[in-house]
Amino acid sequence: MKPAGDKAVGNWLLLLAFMVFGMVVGGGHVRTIGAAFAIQTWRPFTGFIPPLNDAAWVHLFALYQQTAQFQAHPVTLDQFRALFWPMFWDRNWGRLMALAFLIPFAMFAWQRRLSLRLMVWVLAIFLAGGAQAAFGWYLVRTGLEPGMMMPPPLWAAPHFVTALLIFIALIWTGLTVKRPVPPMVEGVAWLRPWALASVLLLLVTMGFGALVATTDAITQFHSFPLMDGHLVPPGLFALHPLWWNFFANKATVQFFHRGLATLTFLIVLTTSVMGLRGADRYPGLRDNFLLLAGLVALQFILGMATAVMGAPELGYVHELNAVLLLAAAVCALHGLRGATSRSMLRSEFALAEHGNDRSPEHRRNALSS
Amino acid sequence: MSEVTLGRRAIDEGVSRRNRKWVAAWLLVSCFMIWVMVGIGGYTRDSGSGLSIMNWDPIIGALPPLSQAAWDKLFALYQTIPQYQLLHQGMDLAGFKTLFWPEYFHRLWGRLIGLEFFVPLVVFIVTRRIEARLIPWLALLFVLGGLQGAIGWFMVASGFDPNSVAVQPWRLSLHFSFAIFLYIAIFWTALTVLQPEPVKLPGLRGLKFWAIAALLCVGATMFAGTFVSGTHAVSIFDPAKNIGMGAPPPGYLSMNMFADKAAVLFNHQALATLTVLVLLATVTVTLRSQAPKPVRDAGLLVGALVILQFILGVTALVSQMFDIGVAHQMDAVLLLTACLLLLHRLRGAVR
Repeated sequence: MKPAGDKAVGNWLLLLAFMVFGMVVGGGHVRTIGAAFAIQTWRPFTGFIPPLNDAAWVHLFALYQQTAQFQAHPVTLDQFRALFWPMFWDRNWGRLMALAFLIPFAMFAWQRRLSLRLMVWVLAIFLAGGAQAAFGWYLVRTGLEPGMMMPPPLWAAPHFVTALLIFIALIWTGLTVKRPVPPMVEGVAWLRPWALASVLLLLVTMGFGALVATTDAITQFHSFPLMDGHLVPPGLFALHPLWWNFFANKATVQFFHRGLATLTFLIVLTTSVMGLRGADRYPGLRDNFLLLAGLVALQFILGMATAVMGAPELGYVHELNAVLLLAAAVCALHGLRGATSRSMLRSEFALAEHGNDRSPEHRRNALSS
Repeated sequence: MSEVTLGRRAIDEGVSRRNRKWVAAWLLVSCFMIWVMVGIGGYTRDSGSGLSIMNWDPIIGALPPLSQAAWDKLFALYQTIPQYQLLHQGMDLAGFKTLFWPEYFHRLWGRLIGLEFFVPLVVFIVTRRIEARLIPWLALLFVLGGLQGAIGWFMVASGFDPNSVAVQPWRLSLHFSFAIFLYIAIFWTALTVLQPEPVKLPGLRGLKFWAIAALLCVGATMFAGTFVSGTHAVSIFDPAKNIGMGAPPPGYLSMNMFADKAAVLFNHQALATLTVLVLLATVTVTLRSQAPKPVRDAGLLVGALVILQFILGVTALVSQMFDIGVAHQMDAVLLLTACLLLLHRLRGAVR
């Protein structure tokens, strides 16, 4: 890796991160319309070809007819097609991502622009992407289990979170490749734990958001701030064992999502305000914090509106904005890599003012001026 | 700090920086008390207690009923008004007391503000701690404070009309708007006492226009909000029928803008949305400008409070919880304060 940073390699990784966002757009849509079980075959290499004749359609349709979802809610072939295409494009988007990874990767490796360390790391991210595809296929297969109406929250929510981890890894690596040497940000080292807390809280809250989506908890508690008149809904831990409530109890997942979201909102907003005050002399980082504040405010309002209206379509927008918000928080954390503490700032300032003269008198003068 | 006197903005030689801090602190305490008053008033309104005391005795009314006879007399008076007959038929004395205390406390707090304003004013004048040019202005504000009490009674009196169970919305709006006018006047005076000479800020004149626009937007939205509370317009919110969701109601243009609940709610919502956008733009411009730290901090305060205010407003609507409506009303005053602070700190902005 060049010391100055490799812009093309960095942009390639950021493009892949953006494509992960595109994948969330597709996956969220598939979930919202309930199309997850539509394609009961998995051909990683040849599956990019859609059914080309009636026989192929009939074959695919017959496979779908084995799912409990079809048996509970039979559809016609035309309705099946409407479920098929979103799922088809989501999978092909994944194939496109694999190409968008492999072709530039081979090119950059050929040009010897990737250090061994970076090569191993991005290959690991690629393998994680492949594992994520297999994980997705497992979710589709659960449709054949008796009584399974949609992918089980126990697995569907982690599928979303693992996608986010890949997303974060791509952004972080891309930004680091572009700027290997962190630009100095004076006196705000104390902000780093806040930014880190923001990213972690966002991840946890988004995990619970995925549970709300996959347990269909949106169908209940269309009120805010109370949940049907209760601060803490009754039956919060009605199921046994206790942990099962987090994957099957609509009241539990929505309650925790709301509570964590409020905490996250406050922490992210506080971080943004402190970032805007502390980094006001660094336009890039300042605008990053401004974006973070705007997105988190929008996110909270979208979440409220989704809960009150009980509208899955709005929940989908809420999901997409969450991913953008997470990206803004990760970028802010990355921008703080070169943050220095205030004491360092003072001593460096004194040194710069008075060269190597470290006499106490000179230092005092430097600090008071 | 220079004590030099220059033209119109003359500062009395005798008024030291320290004295000005005392005067400003007193005025800021007055602002805080008005802010609390806005909260008490909101609670009085939303709990429906405003009509429980049928007489207006500015001085001796400070004493609550002290004997059973006094209570019975007040309660008997309340039983004569339409609100009792239409809404609270058969209410007992204990029920009446829950209506009485908020209204009593609201009036008592008003008297306290009067004392808190008048006594230090006299002391500061006698001890010559206050600029001469401020004296008539502050005396006028004191008189206007008394007028606000009278407006309050004028408002309450409208609630005794035949078939009326609440005060007339326009009188409620007048009472609130006048309180806000007094608040703005006192707060601006306090800031100016603290910082008599504007700090010259070259290149920030555009930002000053944003701050003025922000203040006007907040004022307009608050004014529209007074009619939402006066007509209890949130009660028509119904997502299933798409009422109160932000779209103009059918037949909007032919509606009474200050009486029809659907129109009143829509006006407030539309103005609020515009205000949020203008304020967020103002905050963004402030934070991305070369403005000094105090201006930026005022901008940050505006940003945080406007987000809170929007969330509180939506929550008040969807939850129909009146405590949240009161919080929304109190946060509106805080937001207004932040806008005033921003504008005051930008007074010296030039091209």
